[in-house]
Amino acid sequence: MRFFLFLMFLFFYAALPAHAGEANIKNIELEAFDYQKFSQIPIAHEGRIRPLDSFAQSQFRLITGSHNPGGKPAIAWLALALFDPGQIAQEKIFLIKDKRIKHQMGLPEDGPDYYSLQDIKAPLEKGRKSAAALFEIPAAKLTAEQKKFLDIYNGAEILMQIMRSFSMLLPLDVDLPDIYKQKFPDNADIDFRELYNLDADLNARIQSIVTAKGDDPKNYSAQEQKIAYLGFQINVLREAGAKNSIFKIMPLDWQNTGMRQWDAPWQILLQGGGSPRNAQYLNQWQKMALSFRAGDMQGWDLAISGFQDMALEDHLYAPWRFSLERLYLTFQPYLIASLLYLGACGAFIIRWNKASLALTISGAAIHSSAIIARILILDRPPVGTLYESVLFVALICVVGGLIMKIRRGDNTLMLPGNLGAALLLMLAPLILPQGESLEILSAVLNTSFWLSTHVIIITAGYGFSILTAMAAHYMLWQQARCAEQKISYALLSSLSMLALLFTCVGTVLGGIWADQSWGRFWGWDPKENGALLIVLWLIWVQHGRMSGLLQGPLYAASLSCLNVIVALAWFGVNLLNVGLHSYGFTSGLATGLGIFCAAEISILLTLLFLIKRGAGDKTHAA
Amino acid sequence: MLRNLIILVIISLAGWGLTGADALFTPAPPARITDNTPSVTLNALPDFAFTDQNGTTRRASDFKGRIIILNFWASWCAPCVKEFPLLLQAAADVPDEIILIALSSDTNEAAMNEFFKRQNFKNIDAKNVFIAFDENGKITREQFQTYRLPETIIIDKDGNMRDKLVGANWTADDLAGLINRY
Repeated sequence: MRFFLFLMFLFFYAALPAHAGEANIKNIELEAFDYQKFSQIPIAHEGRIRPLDSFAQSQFRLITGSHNPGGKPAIAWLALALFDPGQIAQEKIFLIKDKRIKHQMGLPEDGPDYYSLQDIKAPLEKGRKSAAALFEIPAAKLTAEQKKFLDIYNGAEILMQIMRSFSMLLPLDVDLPDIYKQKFPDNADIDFRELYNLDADLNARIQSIVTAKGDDPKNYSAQEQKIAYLGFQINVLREAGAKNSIFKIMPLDWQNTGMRQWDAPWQILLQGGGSPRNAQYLNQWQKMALSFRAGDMQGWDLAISGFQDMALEDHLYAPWRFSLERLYLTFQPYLIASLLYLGACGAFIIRWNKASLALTISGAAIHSSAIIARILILDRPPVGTLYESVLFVALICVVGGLIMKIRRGDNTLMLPGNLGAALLLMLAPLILPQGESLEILSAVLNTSFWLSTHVIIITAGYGFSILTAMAAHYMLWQQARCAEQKISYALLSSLSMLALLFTCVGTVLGGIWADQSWGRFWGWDPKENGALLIVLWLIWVQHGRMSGLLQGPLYAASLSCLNVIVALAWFGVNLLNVGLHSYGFTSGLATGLGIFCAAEISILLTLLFLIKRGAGDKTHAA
Repeated sequence: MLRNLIILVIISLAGWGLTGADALFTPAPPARITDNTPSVTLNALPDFAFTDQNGTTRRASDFKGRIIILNFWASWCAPCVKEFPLLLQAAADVPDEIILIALSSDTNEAAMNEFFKRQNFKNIDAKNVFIAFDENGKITREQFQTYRLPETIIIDKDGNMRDKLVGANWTADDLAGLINRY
């Protein structure tokens, strides 16, 4: 479906206002404008109201693979795409590095890596048959090369949608028939909305021309040809606009529709529902567009300020929430926290314990503040997606270590906790190849109480499991080095019991949630089985210890294996692409997960081997 | 063990607090965009002027205190012609409380007048029915952002625009239901 939309956009490209009128405007210097206020304009996208800057970053990452292509901020590119589509079509923002894709698109293999929409328009049109075939294949079955190829189509489609968003209010370069010239003395500034007033009259005239002279334009007089062409232009713009729905910036306030809804300008124009307030908003956008195209900074600022005054008067958004989101996206808190955790590990190893503690507390403060900011921005509990669960589990790891340090003065969990948290935070961005998007949840996950309790408790269980496993690794490492034992078996046992408690309760609560949401307590769903697997593993290890079958390094190695078990339960089941937990599916994890499991098992076998050899040496020496 | 249980209870309470305890007892609403903004902002009817079928210039504010049905239509629009009798009937049912203003987007005034000569609408001459030609869509399109015909706005007695009916796919009962709210 999206593909056919795109073909339509290509077909109608020639009718874009900016294309028709590009000779009338000068090349815009993007850096000259101040985008601070512009970036705070509210837009409804992917289920929530977000600042325009956030929309720009996510969309230009999809279009170009970077949130600031060419070193310019995404918000500047967005302004250019909206208000001067002719210029952005010439900008080389599409990154195509892969030679095979270049070949597939008919581009020179040793040519440049960056292309403009104008450059790739013909190759995209040429490759549309193979792209259409690929769009029919499920994403999970596509090769990396095929995905990249389709990403270019998707990116071009999104850019075209954005470029067309305001085509109803940008000046059109049309050649008016004499009969309409009186109505528009200033021909250069006509926009679609004004032309639309002629629609009924034009249709009547075209009908009478066709009735009298047939449908071959060669038989028409020059004026009749102009009438027919104008009718065609209006139709082309209207039909292209009818499919344009990405830029939902217009609020609709009608009581019979229930609550406030948002729609794109073209949708309101053609599907109805507009209001005098919408007209005022659209006029404000037009002022922005004209100022931007004219390079008039003062007009630009005035138009945006006027828009913001209206938006605040109508309570379209909460400014503090937008400022927080901007801060959150700019600050990169998880990267900073992970670096602090790594620093804490380093300080711990060289026995700078105070520095280690300070770095850990700083990291945890930034980490937890970022999670709280996320809760406030999204107005929902902290754990709803795979990505968020990683952030939360990392915090549990580090907080577990800190609690031990602060309550018992015991340093031993500082290294495993910090290391586990740092590794998890570094893994997190890999789950979101398109970057942080602050997405909303699918309806099934957005069910309040059970989400808060079940998911938070089960992820806390994952956190304690990973902390246990990291502590067990640390213990094995010390034993292998024949170093002083800092972690006791009693501590390992307590940690594993804590992990068991949380995973067990979390799994039961998951059953209750499933009963509420899906009408059954247990369905042998892969995710449910995964959670059960952790519980069974922990119970098995504890029983092994009590019965004396798992003792010493073997007990620690069994608990170390929790990393693998948790990884399989947490990420592994997502690879199966079956079951009701399909909201969490993330492709491309298989290789990483496989490498991780193999590496973990190799490390454990090596450590066990070293411990055994060390013990043998001691016996031999004795 | 007791300590673990306390931790568990604290986390559960935190979760409860995050979402509101009442969510436990009410079914989750469908996912919609709200962003904590008010559900609907009431907008006042702009005070536009028009010339009615008798050549008298009137203003929308002249009718404050009565419910206004503001209809955007054109004689070339088939659904508009279909719904017009229902609007006239609604105005005739409660003549003291309801005002019907029908703004035509016809290409010229003559086309509109010609249309009324051809049609034989009941209640068209009622005192609470005002029909006007909207030249160049100044009110319909420029002021009310209405490009798709027909559309009908219900305005309450205080002059607030409340509901909008897009298209002619509604019944007399639907319209009466909306009017009765105000």
